[in-house]
Amino acid sequence: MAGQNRAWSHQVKLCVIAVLCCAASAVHAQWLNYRIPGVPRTPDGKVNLTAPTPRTTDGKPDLSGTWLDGGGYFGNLGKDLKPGELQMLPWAEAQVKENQTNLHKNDPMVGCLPPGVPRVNLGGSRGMPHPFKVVQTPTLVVLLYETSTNQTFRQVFLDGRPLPADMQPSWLGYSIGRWEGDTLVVTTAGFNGRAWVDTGSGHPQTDAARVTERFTRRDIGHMDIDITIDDPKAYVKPWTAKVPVNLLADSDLIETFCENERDLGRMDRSTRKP
Amino acid sequence: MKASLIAVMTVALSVPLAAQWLNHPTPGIPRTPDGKMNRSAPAPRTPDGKPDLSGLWNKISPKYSRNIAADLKPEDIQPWAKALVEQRTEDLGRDYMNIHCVPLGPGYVTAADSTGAEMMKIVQTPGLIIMLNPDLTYRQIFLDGRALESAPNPTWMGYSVGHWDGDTLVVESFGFNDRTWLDHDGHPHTEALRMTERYRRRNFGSLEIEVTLSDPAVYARPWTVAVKAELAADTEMIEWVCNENSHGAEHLVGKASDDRKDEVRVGAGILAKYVGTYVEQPPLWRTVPRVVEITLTDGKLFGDMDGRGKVPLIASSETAFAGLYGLGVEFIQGGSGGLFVKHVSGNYRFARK
Repeated sequence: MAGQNRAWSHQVKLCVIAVLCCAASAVHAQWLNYRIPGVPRTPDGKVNLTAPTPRTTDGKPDLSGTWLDGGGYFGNLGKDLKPGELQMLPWAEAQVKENQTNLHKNDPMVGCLPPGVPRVNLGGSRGMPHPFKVVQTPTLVVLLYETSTNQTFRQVFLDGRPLPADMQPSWLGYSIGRWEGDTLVVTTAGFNGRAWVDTGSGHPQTDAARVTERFTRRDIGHMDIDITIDDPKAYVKPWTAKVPVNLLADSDLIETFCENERDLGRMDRSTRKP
Repeated sequence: MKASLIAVMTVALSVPLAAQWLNHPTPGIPRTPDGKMNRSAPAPRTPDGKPDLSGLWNKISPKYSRNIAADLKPEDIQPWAKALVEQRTEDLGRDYMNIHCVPLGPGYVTAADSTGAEMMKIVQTPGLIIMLNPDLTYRQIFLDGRALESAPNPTWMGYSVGHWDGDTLVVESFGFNDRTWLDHDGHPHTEALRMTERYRRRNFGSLEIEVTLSDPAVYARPWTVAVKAELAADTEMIEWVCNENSHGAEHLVGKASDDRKDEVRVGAGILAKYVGTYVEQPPLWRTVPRVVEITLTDGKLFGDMDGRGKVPLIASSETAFAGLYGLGVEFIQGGSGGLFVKHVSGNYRFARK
């Protein structure tokens, strides 16, 4: 079962990838195999993942559900891009290179700090998946996250408010959303400039970043997120990655908490001899 | 400087942050002609006829935030638990959850003055209610008919299911780990803790919450504490990330009893001048300003803040005192009087009422 696999992966992940050792040691949790009511199923009882996208009473696509990126964008959000599509400024290029040689010791998540946006969507690796959950109301969409540090959430306001003019810098930024046809377009800004865009590469993000996520639920089981990074202090031009996510049917989030930078000391081996 | 003058509980006087959407008018709020929220308007309902608890709420729980067992008899608490509370108080509360950046566990509703837990955002859908906290933790309360499991894997936030009892939302929770304290004083609980919360939105602006705790290995009987919440209009939560702040542990040196060793005697005539009610100026971000009551009984000075309970103040000079739940108090001489409540984040001025 997917849930049991995830539970198992939580137990072994500490051995798998050093950089995210600070992950909470959640083991098998409950309700990972709870049969969610009210969804279409195939004769064998499984959720019919190709049934049409459900809609809310106001006719919008209902994005609610537990979702997991299965595509490895956790490592490199730009992995599918053609040469030239993702062009970093020299300092950003140097930082990405440095991340590969210093065991990621500058990764904020190693210090139990939150992932930023879009990194928080990218779901972890195959060995240690971290899904997210969409809770949708007409005026507010909440994204609940498992992460390899602490659980966290984002509020996306759909009540028509604009982004504030002068934003107090934050890890997760401020998000507003609107519907463009059947696509939920979420614009986020107001970052503190300390979060990374992704995990493996550690693409940087500055306080000038504006992230646009376009959520399109193709059917019950599949949603596309087109993520555009517009960050002129780090990248030559805006770049867009397409991240497909899959419904984690009949499952839910596991609690994740990170306790006090307990793995940071083990990461400081950057001076080791080649 | 004395530990008790500087910090102790992360309680309380957290620094207000200028942030965004703090003045954005919340849509859908009934208002009086002057534009303020009409708190006494009826509670809204969802399309399925249930009371809608959705909104951003300021929690008010001064008494039980400090001492969840304030209404229990001493004999209702196991001796080992009482000893543990005494030890935690003597140690200046330095293992309180916020100091180590771990979640408050079952205490989010009752420990309403802990930094990162002053507010909660409730988002209600028919099958799921979520509660969001400024420290970026959340609770999911399932209303889809599932039952709590009998032996869940212990977690910080526990597992919660809810149902409607008339217009009251009843939330039952189980499966907490035993690593959190139920209050600032340090009352412990075990993994057997069961918590039942009853939420009733009395009108548009107010939410009444009853929290019943049952943990027979520590407390002889289940007991219920009452907490209030007031809708916070035209504002939003501010992201609070514990791990990027100083956790305060470096200030928590010494023992609570150290203050007693250095206590000085202050004449009753001087103490009598301090008796009175003091109101926080300005009232920071709270809907209701903090209030300190200073009283004199049998020649000894006592303090109470926001109804948390009267505690003896320990003089370190004629004007400076320790002992207000780990906070310091300094009386301002001259002028119209007043006092400072001294916290690690600064001195907070209170004017005499």
